[in-house]
Amino acid sequence: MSTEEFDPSRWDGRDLPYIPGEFSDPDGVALHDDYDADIDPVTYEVVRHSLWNINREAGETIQNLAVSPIALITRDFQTGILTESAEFVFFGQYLQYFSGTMDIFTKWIMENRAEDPGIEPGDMFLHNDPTVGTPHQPDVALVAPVFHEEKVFAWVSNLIHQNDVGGTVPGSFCPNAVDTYWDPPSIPPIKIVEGGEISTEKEDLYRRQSRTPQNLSMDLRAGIAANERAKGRIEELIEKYGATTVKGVMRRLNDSGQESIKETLSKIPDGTWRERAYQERSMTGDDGVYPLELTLTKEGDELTFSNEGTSEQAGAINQPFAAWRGTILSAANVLLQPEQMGATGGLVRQLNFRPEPRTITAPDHTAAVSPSGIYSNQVSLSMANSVISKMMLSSQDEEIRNGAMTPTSAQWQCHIGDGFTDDGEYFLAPMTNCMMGSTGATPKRDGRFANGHMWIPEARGPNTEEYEQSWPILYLYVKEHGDTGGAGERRGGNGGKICYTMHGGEMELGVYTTDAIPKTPGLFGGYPGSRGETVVLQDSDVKDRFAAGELPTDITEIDGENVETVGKGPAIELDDDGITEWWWAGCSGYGDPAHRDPELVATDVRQGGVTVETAESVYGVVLTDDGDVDGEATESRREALFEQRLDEATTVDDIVAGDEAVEAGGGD
Amino acid sequence: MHVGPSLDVGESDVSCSHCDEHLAGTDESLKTQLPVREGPITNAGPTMVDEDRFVSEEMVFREFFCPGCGALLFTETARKGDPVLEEFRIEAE
Repeated sequence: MSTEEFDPSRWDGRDLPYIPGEFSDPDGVALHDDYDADIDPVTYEVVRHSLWNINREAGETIQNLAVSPIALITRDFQTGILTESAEFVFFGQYLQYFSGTMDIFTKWIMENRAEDPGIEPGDMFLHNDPTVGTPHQPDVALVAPVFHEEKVFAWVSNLIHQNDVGGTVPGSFCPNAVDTYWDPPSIPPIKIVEGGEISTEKEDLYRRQSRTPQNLSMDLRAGIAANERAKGRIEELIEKYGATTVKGVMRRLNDSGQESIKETLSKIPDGTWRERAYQERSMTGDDGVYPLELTLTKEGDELTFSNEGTSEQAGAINQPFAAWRGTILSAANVLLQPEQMGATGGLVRQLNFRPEPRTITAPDHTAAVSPSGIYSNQVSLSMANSVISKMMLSSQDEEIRNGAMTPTSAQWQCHIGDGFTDDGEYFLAPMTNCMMGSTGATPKRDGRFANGHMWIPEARGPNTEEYEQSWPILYLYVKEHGDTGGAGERRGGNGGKICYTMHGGEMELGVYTTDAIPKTPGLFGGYPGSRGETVVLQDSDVKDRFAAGELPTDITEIDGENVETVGKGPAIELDDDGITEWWWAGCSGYGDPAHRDPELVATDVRQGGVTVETAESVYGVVLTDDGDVDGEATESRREALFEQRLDEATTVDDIVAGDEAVEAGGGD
Repeated sequence: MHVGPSLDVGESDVSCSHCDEHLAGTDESLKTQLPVREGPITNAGPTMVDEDRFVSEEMVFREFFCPGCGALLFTETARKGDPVLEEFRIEAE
């Protein structure tokens, strides 16, 4: 991270979030920085791919050993390998924005733990402190040094989302949090493993606030095993090829990544690209609206990101700085350098971050951040996706333009309930069906329903049988939700919806997602992505319907007492006949919907992705009774639509006060 | 210079790629020069709802058009009365 014109000295991870300054050899720890600059191409490729595979193997270790559903099923974790001075070698292919925190907290550990308690072989540090650098408290980090000849040769790290680490709401996303003291405890880096042995006193401290401490202990061992596996494999590489060769490969990998991003940026004009989104309801009971802004400035071969214009920190919708940076790295990694396979060290060298302190996206340590995984992290991902894509769409290079993608959904819709089974066993149920996903549109193709999310390539949606086996619920349906992808010449992928009812036991929904303001911006005339909703019917007739041999396929077919929901609302206890439907949102569209190929719209309608009404009113496409395009009627409809737009339009001066017509100075 | 699906940015002006209509000078704020339709956020898509149930401030959905052919060039969500978002400024090469 460049420090030019930016003083990071007060960003020390105590009051304000930690931002490393120019990083040199820290006191108390020797760094192994010898490397061979002359490595033959075959050795380079073998070692490069070995490092990539080591990181992947660490991820597979977590997949095999973690027990919490959100890690085991959803793959809500990340692995990484870093150089001796905590420069990235490889991101994993799991949750991308976790990686944006790894280099930050590893540098903090070198600056703050090297002399006391020291950094030795066989040590491993644990932390979940958002001010030092995690996305929120449930994302618990483990990082271990890899030593060679008594010097730190590299670091291996992972973050795993934990089932519950305490706080006021089961599942540790706390939408009612006034400040961090309502959130789960934040633990700054502690040496959880010393000389290869787990510290039982520190593990006890870590477990104490959790509602499911056994999950913490099991997942802690999964994370330790992953780091041990990666560390051992790197030691084997050193033994086989020599330390200076392995380090030389790391150096060259980052240097070539840096040259690659410079070459890409040389094909994009200098300029500024901006996005704005609005968070709503900062916490339970609030009804405010909170603007967030993101500005990307490209000057030569560097990109600078600023959050200027973002609201002051508020309620529980804040995002740790490291997570804000991580969401930007996620979008940059996936959109600008997919061919680097997660080797992001070179890319990071070209990025600068200019946060305004005590804002929603760079709050101080007193701010509540625990629900960031649902709200703020997703908005920032979506906004980063937007500004980077708009920049790419300003390039005259076809390959760069075609790599742009409309923004991913700006909220992570989910349900988190807890309760007791019929057997009296406590359970915690983070339902992550939204991980089936939705993707954005590109200039050459539409987004798609249920093909994952761009920011977590290895994720997968849960199997309904697994959830029904684990919790006292019964699914009625999981399906595509038509008309939720943002309309456009290329349309965004649709979101989905699920419906379940209680099946024995008892459950309270502590977290559910409902929102009103569209937050996923469309690009260049595309419509925004859709929103989330939770529909709850208590005392429904669903069990009577089952007894009659009926299986409702839509919640509108079921009678019951409607419970109106709002975002970050109070907990809802579902009664025995309670039924709920919830939606995950679609991505946004690209370009004018009235320029979309009518044949594509007809296909959308045939496949259920778009309704006949939307085809005509938004896309201007008229279909025959057989579902074919009525060419003449479509041409007339579109002419009328273009005319209607201009007839109904006014000027910007009519809708915005004169001096405030444009946000930020200058012209487009 | 072609930007997005619908804009051509020249040395001194921005025009519509569909009909060649002059939209603005490069030294002007493009979106402020365009015809705009402002409506409720329910206009932003079929599954949108009235925000009254959720928040205390009025939200709007804005569509910015080419004055020549009516092509939809930008959309944005905003609080009623908030400034128009300046989406980009590109330096001439």
